[in-house]
Amino acid sequence: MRTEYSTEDRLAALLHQLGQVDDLPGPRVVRPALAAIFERGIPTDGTGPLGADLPIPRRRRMLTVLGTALTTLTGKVVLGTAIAAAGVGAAHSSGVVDVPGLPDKAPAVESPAVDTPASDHAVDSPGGGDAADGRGAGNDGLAPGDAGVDGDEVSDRATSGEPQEDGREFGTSIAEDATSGTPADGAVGGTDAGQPETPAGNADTADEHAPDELPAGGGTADEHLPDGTPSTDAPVDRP
Amino acid sequence: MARRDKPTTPDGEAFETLLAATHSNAPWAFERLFTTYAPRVRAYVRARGSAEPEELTNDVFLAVFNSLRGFSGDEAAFRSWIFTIARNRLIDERRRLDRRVVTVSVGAAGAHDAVGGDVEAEALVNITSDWVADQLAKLSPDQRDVLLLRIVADCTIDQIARILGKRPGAVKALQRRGLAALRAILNREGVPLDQPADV
Repeated sequence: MRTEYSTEDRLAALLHQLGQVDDLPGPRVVRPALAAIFERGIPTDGTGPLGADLPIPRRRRMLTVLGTALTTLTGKVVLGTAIAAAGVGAAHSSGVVDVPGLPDKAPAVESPAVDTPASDHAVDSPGGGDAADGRGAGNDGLAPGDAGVDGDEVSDRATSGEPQEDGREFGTSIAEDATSGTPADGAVGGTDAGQPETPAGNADTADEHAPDELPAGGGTADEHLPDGTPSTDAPVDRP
Repeated sequence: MARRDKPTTPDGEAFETLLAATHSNAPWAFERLFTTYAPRVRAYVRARGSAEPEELTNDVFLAVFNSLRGFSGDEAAFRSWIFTIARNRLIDERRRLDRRVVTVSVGAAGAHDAVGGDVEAEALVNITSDWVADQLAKLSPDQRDVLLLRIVADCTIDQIARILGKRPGAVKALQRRGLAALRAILNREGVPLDQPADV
């Protein structure tokens, strides 16, 4: 006959079955050391079999090895040497003691040279000294008629933005010339191809006027640039 | 639930006599301790998933006898001490087996899958009843541990707390949740019993 029981009955039965371990046969004696204890008791000579069959935990084994090392002369020597070496190394690294065999302090880390991009605004005066962006030497100290750094004669008109004979300022003529798209080969001061020869280091003209004020010539000049050539805003390194 | 009689477990005075006999190195006292507590220790370690419960039980009692001269306490403390050692040996065995499993599984990936990954749950199949084992295998390891120590080892809440390194309140909660989980499992599955519970 099959009977349904409540959950509590089933739980009680489960726990009851779980606790019925006394009815089971006892475990076998599989360790010889345990069998020896049941026959003769625990050996009292200190070399008993109790530990022979027991697996030694790894931590206890490590502590045993460490204890053995500390109690033997060799272990003490090794430990003392290690401590002394560590102390000398620490003193050397801190600069207290100079040990010849040990490497010196690590050299100070030098920050790598980084090319600082040139400013979009020129900082040097027209024709004055070397250009700050390395575009070339200026024509300072040269009289009109002498050969400039590019081999051409130094013009007496290239001293400043003073009005020219035709009443136009110097920069105006540059702009008009630039519209023709004629490249200024070997121009030192200008960065734009297609810009006429300008005074060396006249970055005011090159950077301030050229990109903004060149109506068509600037665009034309950029179009003639080969692929990969920096355009007007990018600094151009010339020897 | 009525408390079961355990005629094989020595009471206070008998335990004191037995302990004194072991201190005088009487072989019969050691054997008596083994026959008294070993079945519960074996049931516990087997239920916890020991791969070699007989060998592990032997090792537990070798460790107990090795340190018995320094033990002082009553029978409850002795039982708690035995199961503390048993649990530690069980953990050691599991670590050892885990390292071994990793080595073997390199060449035989399916070997571990055959066990199912839960050694403890698989080992419960070998306990006294397959049905009991099936129900216990559905509990969490902590709940299973508390219930086994409570029922199989017959430990009190405080003793279990010392063995597991938990607070008594946590042990009570684990026991309550474990019993609730068992009750829910039995209620859900509706397993009929052919014999009434003898409790």
